[in-house]
Formats: sequence, structure tokens, C-alpha cells
Amino acid sequence: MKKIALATAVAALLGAAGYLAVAQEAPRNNDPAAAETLRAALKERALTRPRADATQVGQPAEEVVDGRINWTGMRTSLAISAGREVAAQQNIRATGRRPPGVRAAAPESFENVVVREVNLTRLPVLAPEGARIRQTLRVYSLGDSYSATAEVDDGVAMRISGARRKIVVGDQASARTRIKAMRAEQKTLPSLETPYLISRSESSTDLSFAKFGAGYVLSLMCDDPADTRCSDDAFIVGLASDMSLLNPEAGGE
Amino acid sequence: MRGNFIPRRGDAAGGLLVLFCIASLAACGSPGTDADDPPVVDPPPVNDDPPPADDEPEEPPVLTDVDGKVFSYLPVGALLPGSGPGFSDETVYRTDIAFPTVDPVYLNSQVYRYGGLHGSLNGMNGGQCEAPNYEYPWQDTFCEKRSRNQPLCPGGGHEGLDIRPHSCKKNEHRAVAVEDSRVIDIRRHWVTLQTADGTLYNYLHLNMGALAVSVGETLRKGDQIGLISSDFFNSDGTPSSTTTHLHFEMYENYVAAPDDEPLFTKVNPYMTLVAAYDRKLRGDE
Repeated sequence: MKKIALATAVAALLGAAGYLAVAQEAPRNNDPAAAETLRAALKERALTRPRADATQVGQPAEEVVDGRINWTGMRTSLAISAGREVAAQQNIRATGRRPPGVRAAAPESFENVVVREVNLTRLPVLAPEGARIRQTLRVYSLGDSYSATAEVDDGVAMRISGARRKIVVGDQASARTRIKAMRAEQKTLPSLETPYLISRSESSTDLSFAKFGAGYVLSLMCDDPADTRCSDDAFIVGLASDMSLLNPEAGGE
Repeated sequence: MRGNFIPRRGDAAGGLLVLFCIASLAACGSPGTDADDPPVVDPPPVNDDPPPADDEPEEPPVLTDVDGKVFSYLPVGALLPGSGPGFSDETVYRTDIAFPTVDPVYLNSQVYRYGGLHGSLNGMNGGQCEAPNYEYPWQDTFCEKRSRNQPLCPGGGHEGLDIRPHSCKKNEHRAVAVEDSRVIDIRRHWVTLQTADGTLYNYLHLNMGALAVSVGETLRKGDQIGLISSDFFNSDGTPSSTTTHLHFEMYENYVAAPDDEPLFTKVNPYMTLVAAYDRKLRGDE
């Protein structure tokens, strides 16, 4: 109890950074008075909003900019993947495995894809390959962004979302720190020859990458979060390594 | 859009009652005095004129919600003691969104407060309906400690915010679309929306059996999505329940400078929601 009270009192004096440092060392405490002390300390630190002459809240994002899509790069990637397949024909016949890559796929060849949704999309529409995905894939377009969802296998679903517009964040120091730290974690997807990042949260395992000037995030949702297809990196990296491109004729803007 | 500070009905009547009581003090009595107080010899004359407008109760100098409670919040990244590292990001990612709920809400931890698995860490023992869970200040829960560890939240893992509705009663408080958007996924215990800018919003723990939306549907800002509930699933896929709250997640395709390659990941929506609530309380939504 005394330790908690002391910690919160010190925290109130030290401000946010110091508070967090102290907070992480707080011992377990079943004394309700500790909660009262803590809540009082939190109220003391809380900010209110003036009714008149209000100051700005936080740091608003500076702007939303339109990413320039590299359609030429997209077609080059298709050509490179096609070349790899030709070179690996013998191996493909022997193993049944194609080399990683991006391959053109007509939207009509997907049972549940509405072609108009693909045609409306002003960025490359990528989706992982796979038999079950091909049967269940659906595309939802918003023009400058899209999402595609599908069942991957029993107990695993996926969503891939892409966007060509980029938001320039307001808290530059925070953003630069984060982006630098996150990029340091990145490895390279062999299929797309681009760095990627994996993160996990309550709702999904996410693999983020940028390609052709757009940003993408591939999300895996497992019925059981402990399913190794979601808890290990290999499965999602494998999915991202074989991509269908549903609008290979797009571009020309 | 209506303002959220609504003078309580009866204030004007109360004022008249005060005047009446001043005029006939002996009849009304006065709390806080007793019978031994000296009698008032010269009561002030009754003023028959309507009370001037400035007799109305003055608005508090700070924002209040519809209940008259003063809205307050803790700084971004300042989590409860022992509940994780947090992540300080002052960015208001979307400056014109609607707040995702209709009623006043309380952003705070579902795990490290009353009714949560680790509430006892800070002496917060009890059920989720304990009154302190339903009071300001708001507190950030992004990167709260969970079983996961990841690049954005080392030692954390909770890549969203927990929004406690106006009361602990489930299926009563509405969640709404924060922007013009499209429903791109409904799965297990969440609904996902996407905007033309690419922003993704996940709404978790709604009453999934009574949603107001369907997959593929286009929504306008403010359209109802569903009712805040406690829907959840066990790891074996069977339906389960959590505390009554809306877990809110946000993805952005973002850069530090316009020509950078973007990162499309979850971001901390805390300051975005503070700004949206600020606008809501001002009636500027």
C-alpha cells in the first residue's frame, strides 16, 4: 500500500516518462485504498478541454498525398516472374512448386470476384494464390483502396488491403522513431523483392509491405490464435510469396 | 448536430423557486440553518420581472458531456501501472471523423481495472460494473501488455483501444461508422470498414447476431453498425464472452514524408478519438 502510494505520488511529480518508468515496477496489491490513491493521482494528471478558445488536440496529420503508382514496375515484375517460371519449368514439373512471384490472373477466373470491383481499383489488385482462396475470394473496391477477403484453409481466413493514398503523420518524432524501428525488423519478400514487417494483435497476424508505390497489409485470422499458421511467420510469408495480380492491364494514368 | 452541454430542464423553475423561497423564507425553511437562527426581519421585495438571461447557470469553462460530467483524459502513452509500455503518438490521423459511439464513453483498460483479469495489480478488485470504470479521465490502452510481443509494442501487444460504453449493460449502446466507408469484412466478433483513403477500422465485440450492416455495404459517416456487446470466441472456435466494450482498431497507410514508401499497419487511435470526442462535445461532428 505504502509502496503504491509512494509510486503514484512520485509519478505525479515526474510526468509521463517518469510515471511510466515507476509504473512498470508497481507491485500487486489487493488493497482497495491503493486503487483510490491511484485514481486520485490519475485525476490529478488528467487534461481537460477548454470550452472557449480551444487549443489544438494532438498533432493533426499533415496531409493525405496520392502515391504515384509504378505501373511500369508492375508489368516488369510480371515479366520477371514469367521469366523465372520458364527457367524453372523442369523443376516445376519435378516438384510441382512454382518459384515465388507475381502472376497475372483474370478476375473472371475467381468464382466470387465481381469484375467491376477490380476494374474500379486504381492500384494493383494483389491477392495471395491458393485453391481455396481462388474459390472464396471477394474484392471490395473503393477506387483508391481495396480489400480482398477469402478463406485460406480450415480455420484460417485472410484479408489483403491496399491503398495508394498516404497519410503524412503529424507526430514526426514518434513516426520517424517507429518507422526506423519497424524497418529494422524487416526482411525481404522474394516474390516482390520488397521489405516486409509482421505484427500480431488481438484480431490478426499482419504482414505489411509497399510495392509499386502503394501500401499493402495482408492479415491472417485464425480461429485459434495459437494456430502455428498465425503464430509462426512461415505461413503468412509463404502466402505473400505467391501473389495473383487481378488487374494486369490497369494503369496508363 | 446538437451540442452536448444541455442545460438541465428545471433550472429556470428552480430559479423561480429560489425567488419564492426568499420571499417567504419562514415557510420554505433553509437547509443548513436551524430553528434558533434569528428571523429575517426585512425580506427583500419580490421582483416580478422575468429573470435576466444571465441568471441562467453559466456553462463550465471546460467541456462536459450530456451527463454534465467534465471530460478529461490522460496523455497518450500513459497506461496504468504495470499494464504495459504504451506507445506515445500525438498524431490525430483523421481530423474529421465522427466518434464511433453515440453515447458518452470511457476509454480505459478491460484487463487492468475492475472486472479485469489483472485488476488486482492496482487494487482495482470488483466487477466490470463498478462505478469507477464509468468515469473520466480516459486512459490509453494501446500497447497494453498481453500475451503477444511485437515490433510496434515490445512488451505490449494490444494494438487497439478499449472503449467502455455509457453503462455496463450490453446491447444497449450503439456503435456508428466514423467515416464514409464500406463494410469489407464481418468475421467472428468483429466488423471491418475501409475508406477511400485506405484507412481500416475494426469494431470488435459488437452483438454479432444483430448487426445493422452487411458485407459490401456502403456506409455514411454516422450510420449505425451495431450494438456494443461482449461477443468473443474461445480458441477452439466456440462463442464466448468478454467485458462489455468496443475494442477499436485503426490501420493507416502512412509516411513520415510525402515521398517515402508507406507502411500500412495498425496505429494508435487515442489522440484521433480524443479529437473526435472534443468535436462531438462541441456539437461540431
